[in-house]
Amino acid sequence: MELPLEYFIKLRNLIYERTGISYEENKIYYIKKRLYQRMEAGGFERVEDYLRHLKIFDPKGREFQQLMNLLTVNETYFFREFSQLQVFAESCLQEVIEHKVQTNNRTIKIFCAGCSTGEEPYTLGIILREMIEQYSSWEVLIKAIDIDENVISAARRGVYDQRSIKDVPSAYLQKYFTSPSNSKYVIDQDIKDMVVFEHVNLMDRRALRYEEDYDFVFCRNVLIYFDDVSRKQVVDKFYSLLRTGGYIFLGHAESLSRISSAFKIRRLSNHIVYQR
Amino acid sequence: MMGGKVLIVDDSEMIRNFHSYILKSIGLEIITALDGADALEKIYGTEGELLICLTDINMPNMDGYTLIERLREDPNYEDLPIIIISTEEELQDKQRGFEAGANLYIVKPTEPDELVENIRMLLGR
Amino acid sequence: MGSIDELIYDLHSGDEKARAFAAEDIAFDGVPGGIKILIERLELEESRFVREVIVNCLKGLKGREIVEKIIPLLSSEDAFIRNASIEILSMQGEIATEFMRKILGDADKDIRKFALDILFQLKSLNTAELIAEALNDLDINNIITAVEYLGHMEDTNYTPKVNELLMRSDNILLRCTCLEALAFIGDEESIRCVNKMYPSYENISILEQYSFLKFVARKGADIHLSLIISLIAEKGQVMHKEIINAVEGILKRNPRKVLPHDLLNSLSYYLTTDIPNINKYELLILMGHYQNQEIYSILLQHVDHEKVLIRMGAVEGLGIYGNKEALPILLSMKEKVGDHDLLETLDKSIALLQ
Repeated sequence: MELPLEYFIKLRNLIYERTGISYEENKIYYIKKRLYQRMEAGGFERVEDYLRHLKIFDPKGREFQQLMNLLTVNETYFFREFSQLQVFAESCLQEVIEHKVQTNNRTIKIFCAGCSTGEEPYTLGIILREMIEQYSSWEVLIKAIDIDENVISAARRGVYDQRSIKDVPSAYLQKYFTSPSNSKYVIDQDIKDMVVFEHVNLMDRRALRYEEDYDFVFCRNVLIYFDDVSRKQVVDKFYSLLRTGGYIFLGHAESLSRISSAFKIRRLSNHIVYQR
Repeated sequence: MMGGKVLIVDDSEMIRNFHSYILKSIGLEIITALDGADALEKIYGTEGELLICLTDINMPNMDGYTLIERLREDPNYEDLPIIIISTEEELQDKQRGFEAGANLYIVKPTEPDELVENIRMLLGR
Repeated sequence: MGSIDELIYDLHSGDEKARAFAAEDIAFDGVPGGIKILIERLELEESRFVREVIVNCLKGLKGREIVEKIIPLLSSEDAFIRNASIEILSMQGEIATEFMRKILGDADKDIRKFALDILFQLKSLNTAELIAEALNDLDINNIITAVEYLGHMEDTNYTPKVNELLMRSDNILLRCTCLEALAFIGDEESIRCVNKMYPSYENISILEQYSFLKFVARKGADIHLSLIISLIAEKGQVMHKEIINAVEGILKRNPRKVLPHDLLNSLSYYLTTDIPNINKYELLILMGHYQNQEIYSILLQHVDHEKVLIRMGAVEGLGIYGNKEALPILLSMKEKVGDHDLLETLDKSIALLQ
């Protein structure tokens, strides 16, 4: 079965229009393979029929969601999307630190949405330890939330396998993990102490209303699971959480402007960043 | 016409296509956006310089006036030539467009030769 | 949660957050008269954030009242409010469709255009019929919009009218729009009209060439191939997307085992030019479907290309071409390759050849 470029582009555009996620050209085979899976499951012989189905005959977006589930890689691991973390660490965080030093307010608060088993908040913890000078004079909080209580329990335990730590720079692996056995890695207690985990449902309208003054919100690869109206509701919550000048980070292939235009968009080191 | 990138912003696929055909035929490279918000993503997400921006007014997520105002707030885009191409033709719409910071206002449907002339003029070519 | 008075008080608070939370509570706690209160606030509100929250709340409400109260906002002087109204109404389903019928007859052409936009988003049962009324609109922009939407909706009930518009209009944008819509909704008569209007390459203006190619991609036949070969030679660098789609479309509808010689030469030449890598990827896969001897050599040549995407095209092409002699080459490639996507295509092609 074939995926003529024209249909690849149409599908890619449809995905972008509905979720803000962009796929590069190199991903054509990746998308083709998963597209065929869905076509087979639904008994579609021609790509154009499947596309028509998505556009016209799938009003609740169920098939579209199935396709997106296949396309989005759900694995989480330490230092995922490294180059974006670099921009965070070397540009945005520095800017915030300087501002805080000037205003004599040595606090840093990070909000981590959809924290899953903890790799992301602990990664941020490591970055803060590494990037903040005179760390001990600072008050640091990383609030990490997820709707799934099981993953939160796992996150609190902080025990990881080879897959999760594959991208951790070896110096950090030495410094911030212990390894009781060959295939197990445990994050150090002082990193654990930086993170507070909470069970929260972002769809709850009143959730998080009392949270405020965060410097950073990370919500990477989470918003795909929401519909349009709900997605905006969630992002509006994040806006309220941030202090003016705070940053929000989505997944590197996700775009924010069509969800909310309340943020300021900037280009930093070849990345787009969003600021309140 | 020498090369360069042009951004076409319109929620109508056909309008984006048509303006692309006109501008490709004079050797320009095209980037398209679905609406004002998408335009910001494309502008800030693209490496290299943008020669000119063509935009509609009435679009979902962010209208053309707001897009232009946002761009003019950024020193990097203060001088970007911007042409509004819209069906709205009242004097007040045009005034609003110029107040926002547009350089030119064209009423649809676009006359291809006129568009090319206007672009040459704005770019000093 | 406060009383209704408290909520209204907060809706006018100096603090953005308080206003946003109040708006949400007014919308979703079923405050009587809530819609009117929110709309009034929207018109005064200066914060982009709060405006977006209010609009998002209104989007979440359903029913006759919201449709009735939002429709007047289509005439707002404020572009944000006008466009937000379109978005809100587009989510209202059948109820909104009923109201749009009347708005399609509005004296203001811009309001009629908004009705078309809303109907197109609504996609409920009889929206095509309503959109088609605009094929007779006094304003040409609305006719163009209606043709575009009917094309996207793939509704063939109005093909004769679109054929007529194509033949009779002296507006080039309308002709292009008709051509591109007819690519989806065209019939035998459409093909006759197109061949009559554009009997040869010289008759097609530059701008219409793009749209013509789009029509040919879905409705064209072998007779159009020679025209495409000319275009590859003359316009290949600019119209590559449209040209390749046209070739693919014609070949798909008229299957054969080998490519005609002149077409093969043309496509081989095309591969050597400066078209984007993704299009070369596409061409290599397309060629893999045909058994011409030369194609096998071309695919092998590209298997070592410096660009991954082109290598992927060659690899996939070889899998489809089916010559088992390629197997050792692919197997040895597999050992050396690190790129994940390329590995996936190698596996697939190797499986096909084994």
